[in-house]
Amino acid sequence: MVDEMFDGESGQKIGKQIVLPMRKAIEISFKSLKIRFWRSMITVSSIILAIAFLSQILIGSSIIRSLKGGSKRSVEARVAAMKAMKAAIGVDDSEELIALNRDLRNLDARIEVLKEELSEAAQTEVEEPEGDETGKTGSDALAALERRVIDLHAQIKAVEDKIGAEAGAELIASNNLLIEERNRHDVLKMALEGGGGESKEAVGSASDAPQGFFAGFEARDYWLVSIALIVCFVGIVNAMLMSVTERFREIGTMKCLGALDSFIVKLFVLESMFQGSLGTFMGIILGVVLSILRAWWLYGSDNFRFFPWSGMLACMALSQAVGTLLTIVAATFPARAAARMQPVDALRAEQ
Amino acid sequence: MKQSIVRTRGVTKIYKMGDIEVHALRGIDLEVTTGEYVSIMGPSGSGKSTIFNMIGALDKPTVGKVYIEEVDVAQLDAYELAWLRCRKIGYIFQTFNIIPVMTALENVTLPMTFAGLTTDESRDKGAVLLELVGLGDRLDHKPFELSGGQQQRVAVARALANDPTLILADEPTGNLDLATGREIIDLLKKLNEERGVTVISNTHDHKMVSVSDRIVRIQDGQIERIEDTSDLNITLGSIDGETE
Ligand SMILES: Nc1ncnc2c1ncn2[C@@H]1O[C@H](COP(=O)(O)OP(=O)(O)OP(=O)(O)O)[C@@H](O)[C@H]1O
Ligand SMILES: [Mg+2]
Repeated sequence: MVDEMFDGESGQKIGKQIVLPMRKAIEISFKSLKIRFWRSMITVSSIILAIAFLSQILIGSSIIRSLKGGSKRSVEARVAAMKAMKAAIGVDDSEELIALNRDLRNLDARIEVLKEELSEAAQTEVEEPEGDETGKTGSDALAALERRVIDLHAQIKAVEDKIGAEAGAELIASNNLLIEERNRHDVLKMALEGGGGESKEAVGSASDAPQGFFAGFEARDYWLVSIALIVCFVGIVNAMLMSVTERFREIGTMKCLGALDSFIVKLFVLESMFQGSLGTFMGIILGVVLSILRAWWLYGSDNFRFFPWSGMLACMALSQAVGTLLTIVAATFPARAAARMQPVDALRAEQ
Repeated sequence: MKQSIVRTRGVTKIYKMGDIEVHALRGIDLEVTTGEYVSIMGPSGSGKSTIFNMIGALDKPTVGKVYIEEVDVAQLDAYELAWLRCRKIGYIFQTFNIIPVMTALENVTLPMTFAGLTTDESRDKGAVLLELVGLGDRLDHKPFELSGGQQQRVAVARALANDPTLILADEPTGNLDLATGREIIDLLKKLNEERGVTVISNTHDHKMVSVSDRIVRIQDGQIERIEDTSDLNITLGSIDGETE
């Protein structure tokens, strides 16, 4: 085998280098990734961090927009439901019933407070028996309040007799839900604005259903996303540039050994495609986990029902595209530049 | 009459570094015939490496022409240049230029892969070549597990991968101790004698003189003289000027 190749000596003309099949390029690039596994992992971890940052910003901003809109809409839906119920029952009776119930709840609260005070007073009485006066007025007030409660119950009974006990109970339950929802919305609003800074009217402006990806985007979101993109760009380009320039000598050596420029570029495209898609995918997972944890921590788990699951998918797809493309481009440009050099220049160009 | 494998005509190389021009070569006319063992000698900075790069088509001359087997290298397209570097010429560098992450065998089989050999074929042939340079038991060692001399042997085996007709060895012994360097020289001489491979080499070791057919002495980018060792005939090298 060795000898038959020596007939090159008989002065044959210069042939053309064969173009290796794609399969061979894939094989070599995989082997190359495998043999520098840990070095590759360092590059990949830069991509993971950059993309985790980007996707966390994208998803975080999507969550905030969605929570604002969703929570507002949920309160509005409750209000509408109440309105419909009131109309069915009769507006005056409903409002009276609601007012009575509110009074009753307030009274109950006052009675609780008073009882607490009395029991405290009773304890101090053991040591100082002069505190009798407050005790007396306290229990008098308590008795008065309890009479008011009985009175209120009678009034409520009267209204309920008029509109039907079942409808009354339903109305009150619905009203309680509305109050609960409003409280939750207020807490959320405070959490959002506390973290969000100047966007005061945001809850109102986001009340339309967010449809397109940039729907509901505000100046602050554009700012954040731009910063995230820049950080991501710099991180990935830096990582790829380093991992390619430290291989300029290898590129020069491969050219001396008869590699075509296009084959060298192909190797780097394949390697970076693999690193880019893997790193980006892991980065997105990290970003999703982080942004969900953050939203949970800041806004509570009962707001998860407003989660922008489809919007989150869009953010993930966008991050995947950005990360993979950026990685490939950032690796291919320096690799192509080195592959086009004269071999000696590539050999000399160390870092 | 033996045929010419390398011929240069008026090869000039000027490196431009800002405003300063460095004349590395000032018109080199050199002809090497098939099967010869030629040494290039000269002081540091005289342009030896530059000549190797020009002959090996690793860089372009500023002026002048390089012919490999009577084909003008400047006329070759990218595919033909790659073919030439892959199959016609074997390079050995002072700095070895072994790919550090690959094993000895992988380094040797890489040019075979570029030439289109299958994995099995190249593995068999790579093992034979490493055996030839005395590293038959080191196939799967990484370069950092090998001594400098052993790494240079890997480079020699790699240079032989596609059975080149020409081996260019620029200071193959530069980073080696005297004894190891001589082993490499002996190895090159053996290849030259047994396989008829043309060797153009460059070393500071004067022992090199004894194995060479001719010695080309370079001074300041020009051929000072060419010594023929076989009949101790000292011929004057063309000191150029007349070629373009
Ligand atoms: N890339 C370059 N840019 C600028 N000048 C260069 C470059 N390469 C070589 N030179 C210059 O060209 C001249 C010849 O260099 P060359 O490397 O050919 O010398 P050499 O004979 O191989 O020396 P040595 O024995 O030290 O290796 C030197 O003056 C050197 O400074
Ligand atoms: Mg040199």
